[in-house]
Amino acid sequence: MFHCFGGSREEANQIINLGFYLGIGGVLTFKKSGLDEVIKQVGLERVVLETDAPYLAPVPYRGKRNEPSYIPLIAQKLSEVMGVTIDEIAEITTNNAKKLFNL
Amino acid sequence: MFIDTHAHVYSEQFLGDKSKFLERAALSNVSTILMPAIDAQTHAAMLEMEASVPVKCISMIGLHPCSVKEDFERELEIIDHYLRNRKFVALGETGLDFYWDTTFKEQQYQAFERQIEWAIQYDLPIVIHSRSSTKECIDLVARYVNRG
Repeated sequence: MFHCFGGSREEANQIINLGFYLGIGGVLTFKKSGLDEVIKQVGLERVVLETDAPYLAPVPYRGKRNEPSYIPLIAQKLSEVMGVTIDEIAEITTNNAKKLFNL
Repeated sequence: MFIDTHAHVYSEQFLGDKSKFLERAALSNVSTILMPAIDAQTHAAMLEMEASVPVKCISMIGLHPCSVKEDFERELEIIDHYLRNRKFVALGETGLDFYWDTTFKEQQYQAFERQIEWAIQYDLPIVIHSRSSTKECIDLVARYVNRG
């Protein structure tokens, strides 16, 4: 997987076509990250969630110490971006992680 | 239920708060945390976290590109030793970082390639850090993917 992905739509597509996953974290909640548009276009099929704690805390904790309990804030933002429920985000990203890491 | 696929929960910033932040994670419905390795200074702390409850913490093994210095061969030997002796969930985190420092750019490439080769050898996923180097990381892994 490409952890803490923050690249362009073109790079996201290249990564997916190579068989890799995109790690999406707190950057998605930052204003003007542009990541929301990229994910909207590439979809959730190769997306997994990550905090990158203690770094890159999501809004409203931006700049503070990050921790795993903030994962739902990232999932919530992703559910708004994709127009699906947070339960669907949990199911899809958890299944993706299980598949990628053989969990 | 959520999986946090990337958290350095063994970092010293969590030391004073060890049981509480995991309890908060469990309350947030996080069942599993995958821990990316950094370098030999923190491997032991990471492995100790595997005994944690109530959230399952699972280790990767690897060398972070920001920890690639003069002694990177020694760091890779330590990883090699771990890989021969136990299972890990992934190789990582590895990759390239041209944001902070490019002094060891060539060594970062060498360490990354060695870790890609181990991921193939041990049939493990690889976790890539690509700060200011997304294109370069894509180009490098593409060489291996296209090779089959």
